[in-house]
Formats: sequence, structure tokens, C-alpha cells
Amino acid sequence: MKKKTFLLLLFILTMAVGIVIKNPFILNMLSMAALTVIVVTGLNLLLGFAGQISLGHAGFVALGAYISSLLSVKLGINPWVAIFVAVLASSLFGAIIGYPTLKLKSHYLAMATLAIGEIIHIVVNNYVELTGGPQGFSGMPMLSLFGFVLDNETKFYFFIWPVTFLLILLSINLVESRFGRAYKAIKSKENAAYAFGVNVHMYKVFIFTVSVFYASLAGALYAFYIGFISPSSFGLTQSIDYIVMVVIGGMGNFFGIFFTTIILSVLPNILTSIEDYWPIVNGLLLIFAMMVIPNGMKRLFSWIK
Amino acid sequence: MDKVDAIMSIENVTKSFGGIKAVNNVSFHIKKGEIKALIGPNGAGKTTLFNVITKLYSKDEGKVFFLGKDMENYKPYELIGLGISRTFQNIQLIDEMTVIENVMLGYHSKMRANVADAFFHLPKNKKAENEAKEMAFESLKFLKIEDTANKFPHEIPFGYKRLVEMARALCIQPYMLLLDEPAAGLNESETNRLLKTIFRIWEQNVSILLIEHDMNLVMNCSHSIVAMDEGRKIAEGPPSYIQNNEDVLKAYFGK
Repeated sequence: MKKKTFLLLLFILTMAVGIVIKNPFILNMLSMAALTVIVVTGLNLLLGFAGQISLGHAGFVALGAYISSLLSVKLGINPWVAIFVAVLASSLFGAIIGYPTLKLKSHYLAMATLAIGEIIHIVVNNYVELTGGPQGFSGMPMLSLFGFVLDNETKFYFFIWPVTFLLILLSINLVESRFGRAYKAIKSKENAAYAFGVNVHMYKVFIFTVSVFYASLAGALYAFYIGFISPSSFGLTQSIDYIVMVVIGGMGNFFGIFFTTIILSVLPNILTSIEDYWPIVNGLLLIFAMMVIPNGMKRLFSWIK
Repeated sequence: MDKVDAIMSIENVTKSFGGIKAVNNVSFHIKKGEIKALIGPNGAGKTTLFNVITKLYSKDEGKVFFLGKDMENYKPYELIGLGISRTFQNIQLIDEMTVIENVMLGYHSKMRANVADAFFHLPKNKKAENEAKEMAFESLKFLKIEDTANKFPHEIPFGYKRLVEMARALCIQPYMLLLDEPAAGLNESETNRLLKTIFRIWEQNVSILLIEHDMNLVMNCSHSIVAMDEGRKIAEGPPSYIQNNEDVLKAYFGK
């Protein structure tokens, strides 16, 4: 089966789930999962295809969330315009920060991106006058679409999932073009990439920027959906969670990552009785996955070409 | 030699690592439509010179000209645009792509679809993809390995991987092909096939520079040979001359 055919089937299934299920708790959980899918799909382009790690992606989610919220609440700008500006600004920030950072390789790149994520987190946490600090920030208005206010779980579900699928479709398109081949070359055989005309550094900066775009967009939509943001949602833990989802999902495998992300973001909500132990469970799960299925869920979806 | 005949001129190139001159004042030309071989014992500086030519290393002194252009200001990823293509000694095929996709990577620089075309899969992208696929298939057909098109590199024998690398290098129809030890790891029948392949490529008006250890191959296929030892060029001439050159024999057998 082709990727896009399977994606369409998944889309139909997701819409059907939205129609059948009326429980707002479940719908909310799935919408939150969709937001995570957006971040992880972007990270997958960077890590799964181009082979470049980022340990600071939660920071970019925070950028999108805080910039859009501040623009909307403090300056009274229309939410959609605020989201648009926030995503643009975050992506620009990603490009500027990515330019020097992506000259680094492997461990050094991991350290540098970790630092960027932490800096964003610290700024948001400590600039109390602007961001509210650890107390969080709220007051964002509901999003509305063509006069149709997204004021309940069902409505947001039917907004966020089509957006998510569109973003997945775009990333599949990119990967199935000459750029996809170039990124796969960069990931494993950089010299071959050079030899066949790939400006390796600029390509890395570009895909980094795209993944920051995905992350900040998810952050901005999250902020307006929940109406409240605080630094604790955008820490190193979340950055690592995103990486775990890409790795267990099977680096570069869209659908493995799709399901892994949904499962891993829904599980903690279901297993509330072990909430306190979730980091331990999560860690054990990762160790187990790496030992038993080092290629993640790749094989499970190998029939999708 | 007349510089006008040369597709590539290497002039007084020197490259040192620390105090060691890996390439020491080496000059030679590669004529249009010529198969030139670069030989020498291990550590002679062949690979260093190759990396200088392909811009993976910067040189300390000297100049490299390609079709009259000084290559000083070109980046490694701009060589393909000039018409210089290459293969690698240690196979550089991408494992997660099929053979045809690997060869299509060779056509990357000629594809005009930009990122917007790619993201939205616009007609321009579709057209570019089809064209690349066609060219890649032609290239595989030229080397008579089109039946491997949909296999992955790990599914085909080592000798075929070498040919796939050549198909990838030939996909854009380059003016010049650089072969880095193409016979390394090949058995005798594969080497014979390689020899024929090199001639067939040459017949397409591609100038070839190869580094090679396999003397049989070098003596049989090249028009002219440059012998290096300890960073210096010690002899240059046709195979018959190199075979009987005292300096070359000394470098190889230490007489």
C-alpha cells in the first residue's frame, strides 16, 4: 500500500472516531495527542530523515505558545494573526540559531540544542513580569473559524486532526522528493551528498527550521486550545519524550511514529493510578524497546511503501 | 602538453599534514577524452590528491583548473554542476534507499523542483521526479544492471554495488569521472567486467581519472599513467613506459 493511501484511510478512521465517541475526556486526550503528533512529525524530519538530533524541541514548542499568547493577550492581536506571527518568528529564530549550531555533529549538536531548549525554558520561567513565570500565563481567547468558535472538545478535535494530517502529508511529500533523497544521504553518507550537489549545511539548517515550524505551530495551537500555559509543559522531559517517540516509532517511519506518539501520549492519562511512577515506566519502556526492537516499529509498517 | 587540450590541469599542488608533505608539488594534465590513472604504493599521496581535487581537503599551494576554470572558489557540492562526478572506494550507497533511488540521487543537481514544489507535490515536482527516474533507469541500463533497480543495496552482490555507484555518477552525463579504486574488493571476472565498463564509459566521451592498485586493470585500460611516491610525482607516461621505469620499480619493489 502507498503511504498516502494509508494516510487517507487513517484520516477517515480518525474522523469516524470523532463522530462515534462523544466522551469529551477521550476527545480531549486525542486532540492533545494530535498536537504531540505535529511536534514529533517535525522532529522526525530532522532526526529520522536528516539524522540531526535536537534535545531542545520543547523549547520551540514554548516559543510558539508564549509568543502567540503574549501577542494576543498583551497586544490584543487577533489569535490567528498572533499564531501566524509567532510561528514565523519562531522559525526565523530556529534558522538563525540553527545556522551556527548545525555545524556541530552528534554529541556536540545534542549539547547545543539541549542548551537552547533550556535557555528558552529558563527565560520563560524567570521573566515573571512578562510570562507569569512558574504561575503560568492565561487569558487567551477561544479560536474561531469562519465565525464558528472552537469552544468544546468535539469542535477542536475536528479542527486539529485535519491540520495534523495535512502536516503529515506535507512531510511525506517532502521526503518523497529529491530533498528526501538528499536528507537520507546527509544522514548516512555525507560525502555522497556533497558529491552529488547537496549543500549539506544549508540543507540541515532548512530542515531544522521546518521542524521548528512544526513545533511552534503545535505550541501556539495548544496555548489557544487549553487557554493556559506554564513552563513545566516545555521542559527537558518533554524534549526527551519527543525523541523517544521518534526512536520507538522507528526513525523516519511516519506511521510507526504516528501510533507510538498517540499511545505514549494517551497512556499516562489512562494509567492515572501510576502517575507518579510514569517517568520510571517510560524509561523502562524505552530500554525494553531498544533491546527487543532496536528499529522501533519500522518492521510493523514495512508493507507501506 | 598544450593546456587547451586538457580537461583538468593540476599545477604544483602541495598539501601537508603537520610537517609531512602528503602531496608535494605535483603537476599533470588530463586530456579531453583520456583515461588517466594515478598509481603509487600505499601512502604515496594518491588519495590526498584525490581529496584535494574533489575539494574535501583544501590545498596549501598550487592550482587545479577544470575546463580552464580555477577551482579555488568552488565548494565540494558545486563540482557536480561543473560536470565532475565520482565514485567512492568504500561504497557510499544509501542503505535505506533502493538502487534506483540511489542513482536518482546522482541526478539531484539537475532537478529544478524547489521545496515548495516538493512540499505540495506540484506538477513541477512530479515532472522532475519522472525525468530523474528515467535518467536513472537509462544509466542502470547502460551498465546492464537495470534488473536491480528496485532492490536495496544489501540485496545485491558487492560487484554490483560498484556498478550502481558508477550508474549514479553517470546519471548527469558528466564531462569527467573520478574513480577511487574501482577494482578494490572485486574478483577477477568482476574486474574484467569493470574494465569493459570503463571503456564503454570512455566511449561516451567522458574523461576518466582513476586511482587504482590493480596493475592489470591500470595497464590495460589507461592511456596515460602518473606514478607517485612519498607525495611526489616520479613518472608520467603511457603504460609501456611506466612498466619499465626505474623509479616506479624502485618505489614498488624497493630495489
